[in-house]
Amino acid sequence: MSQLLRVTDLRVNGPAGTIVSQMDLDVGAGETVALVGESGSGKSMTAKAVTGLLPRGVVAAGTLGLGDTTVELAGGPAALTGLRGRRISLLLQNPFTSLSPVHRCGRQIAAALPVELRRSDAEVARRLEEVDLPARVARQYPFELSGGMRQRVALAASLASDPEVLIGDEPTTALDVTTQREVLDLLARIQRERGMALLLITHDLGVARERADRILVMYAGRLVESGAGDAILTSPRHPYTAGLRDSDPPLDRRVDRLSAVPGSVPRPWEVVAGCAFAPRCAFADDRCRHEAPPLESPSVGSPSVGANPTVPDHPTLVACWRPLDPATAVTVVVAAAARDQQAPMPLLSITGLTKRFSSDAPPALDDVSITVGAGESVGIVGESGSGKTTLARCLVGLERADAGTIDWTSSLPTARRAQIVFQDPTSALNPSMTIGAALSEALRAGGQHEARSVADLLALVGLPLSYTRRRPASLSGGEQQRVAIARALAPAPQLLICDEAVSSLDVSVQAQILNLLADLLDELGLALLFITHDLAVVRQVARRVYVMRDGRVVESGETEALLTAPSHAYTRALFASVPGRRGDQGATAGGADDRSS
Amino acid sequence: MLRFALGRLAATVVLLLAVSFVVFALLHLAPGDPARNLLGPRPSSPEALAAIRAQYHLDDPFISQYLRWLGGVVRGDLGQSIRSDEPVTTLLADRVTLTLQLASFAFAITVLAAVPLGIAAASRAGSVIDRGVSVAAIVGVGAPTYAVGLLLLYVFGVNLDVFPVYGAGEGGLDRWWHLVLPAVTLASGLGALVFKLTRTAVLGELDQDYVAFARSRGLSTRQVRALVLRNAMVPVVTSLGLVFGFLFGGTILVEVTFALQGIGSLLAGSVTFKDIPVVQAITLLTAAVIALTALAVDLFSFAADPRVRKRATT
Repeated sequence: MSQLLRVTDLRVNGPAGTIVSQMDLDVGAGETVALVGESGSGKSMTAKAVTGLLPRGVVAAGTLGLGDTTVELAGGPAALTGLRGRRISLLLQNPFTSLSPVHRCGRQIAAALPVELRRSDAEVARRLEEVDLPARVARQYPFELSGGMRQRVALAASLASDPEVLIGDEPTTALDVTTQREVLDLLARIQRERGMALLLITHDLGVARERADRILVMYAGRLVESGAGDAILTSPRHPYTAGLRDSDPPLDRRVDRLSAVPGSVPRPWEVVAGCAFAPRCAFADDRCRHEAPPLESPSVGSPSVGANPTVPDHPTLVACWRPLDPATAVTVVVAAAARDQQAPMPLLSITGLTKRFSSDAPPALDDVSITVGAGESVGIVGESGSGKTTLARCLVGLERADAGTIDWTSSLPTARRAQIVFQDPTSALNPSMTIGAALSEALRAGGQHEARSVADLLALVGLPLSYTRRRPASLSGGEQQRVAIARALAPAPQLLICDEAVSSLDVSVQAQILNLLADLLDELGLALLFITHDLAVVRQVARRVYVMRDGRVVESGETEALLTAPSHAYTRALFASVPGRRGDQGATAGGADDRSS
Repeated sequence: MLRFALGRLAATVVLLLAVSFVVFALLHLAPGDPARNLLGPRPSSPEALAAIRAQYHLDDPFISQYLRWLGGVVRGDLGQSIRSDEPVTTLLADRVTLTLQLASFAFAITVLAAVPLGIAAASRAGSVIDRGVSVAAIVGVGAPTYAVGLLLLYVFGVNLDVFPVYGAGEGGLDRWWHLVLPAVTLASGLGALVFKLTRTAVLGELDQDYVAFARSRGLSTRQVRALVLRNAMVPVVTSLGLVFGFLFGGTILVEVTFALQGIGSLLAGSVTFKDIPVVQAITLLTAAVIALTALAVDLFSFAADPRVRKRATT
């Protein structure tokens, strides 16, 4: 196979130290390769390095081959002038920021067209048609379009100069799950029609599994495993790949406990010696801690060629001294024991809640009725614009509903009824306050400073006491979210509201937080209102679930029943859009029940 | 567009009416008896006071006094100066011209020097040019106007004898020649501010995803710069509007330093002298200039930013 994109010995160095090292990758014409990793793995920096878009102060070295051209990356971004766009193009994650807000879409697409076509409206219309958009979009501004449409415009713009290689840096991560599927399908179709090489950068194993011929797994700036997609995800050889796969909550069943990888991804320059994953690895021995393993064919277990028949050019490679043996390393997934099904005492009942932000827009909440029992965990699932966040804000008093009632059975003060945890812990915590100060402030505000101490709160969320003197910036995202949860628990509320509280976390950390929430519910008898767009996550946490769309509840019921056999067309569409869950069809036939019995 | 413009215009008129009310109330809020204040240094016989009361209708209800005064203002009658006994309008006419010339000149220097420098510094952030100009800007912002004025006078007026040191000249080109040093003095502080604002705006835009995305698509440096400048234009022009309003009301120190007979020096004199009608007129005039600049800025962002347009029309 002719490899259109060849990267050899890529190294990226930033002011703090190494960001990416010893990275080799290649992508053939018509091939899709997924580069998978969590935040800080260096996957985005790899994309920026090969397109010459590294931020100031970050330099790359290594060789970049594009078709018949070879470029030394050490020559700086200038070496890529003339190749960028015409040979290789980068599609960014966020369609809301990747287009200029004050230029019409047509002009932004036309800007990268060959000079003689730049003034041709017909050509712009043709390019829009390629991404399934009507010609009128050319005259519209990005802010007038939905996220999915904007990403299509961005795709048309990145294809305007007809590149041979397209790198998509999380191109669908910012989109709703149904839109994500459409855009991924579109990308696949265009790639096929154009015979492009596609490097898909993603944190989502489902996307990688579903869309990629091959998968490369990065950890702390290095490749830890590479090979055919099926082989990598069905029988991972690297403990990290296995951990990543197992932390991903399953959509088709509820498990008692997610197998979280302890700790969080280190920054590449903090890895002193040995395997970067060793501190989090259950199999690590002395050698792992002192000697970095090279990326090579695994020496134990079945021969790699056999495990990898589809891509003979690319046998599985793994950077591990003690690779898992695919014959024995079968993850045993324990399905959850059926929980106590008796209906709990009611805690909160919302009736006919309606909220409009402007008179000519559709209502954000439209006659929403929801109940939550004491100690019950209830999920609210919906895409952006479904009203799920407005509902949460009404509950904690951040918004006032226009109509409807929120009835609490208890007469406790508001702060003791419900507390909320937001999506982004970095912006939810005051950066200038130490963790201890933030927590003791929350205790005082909730009138609990005599009943509980900061140490109690930290213990509750599994953080060491020494963290009281640290500031949020020195904590990882997962630790910050633990602090945010501890702060929400400070007034000892009856209901904890989590508004997409695990959505911005890496999957291995997300599993830790989900497990923590499960423990807290058991320990404290808390009720939980868990708001999310992620069906797999809601299946793990919620006993009952409400599906919301356009401000209305379209379906509700016991999570297991509802997700096993969704009856509303929208729920089914949501379900079908979740990427990379090929076993799902089986799950609807009651597979989950078989396993739990 | 027309509806938006008319709406803004109406808002500006309402604002100016509110300001005029406060300005008129100055007369009654000032310490002492309004009649005595209006009489000024003239001997305050009971007859004179009664005459003043009659002339200014001080015994009428407050609102009707205000309306009568406002009617005069609209017709261009701003009353009599207490100090010189001339109509305020006559007194202001020459001085407003001079101050407007000074402010516009300083504004032009500010825009022509600071905006390109800001763009250049942002596109070469961290370079020698960037650091050099940034340090100069800190000095410019920090140095008091009168100190800069005196320094310029000393160097260019006295030592090098290039520019005149005193007065506003004979009109025509000579007038502008006389205004060079005062305008540069004013522009030094504001230019530094505008430089900083421009640099920050452009740097902010350069950091945006759309710039990285444009470069990844192979757009030329010129094309990318056009994208960035078009986006940075809105905040920069907004800040320029604020700067102009500030300039017009902030010429006083420079006028005093360079012995220019503008409204700044007139205001200073009139406040000292409790020449209330003149103070009222200048305050109202300054407010009008600021409000009209704000109106112009609003109309500009309406034209330049499709998002503002969308918000305004829905």
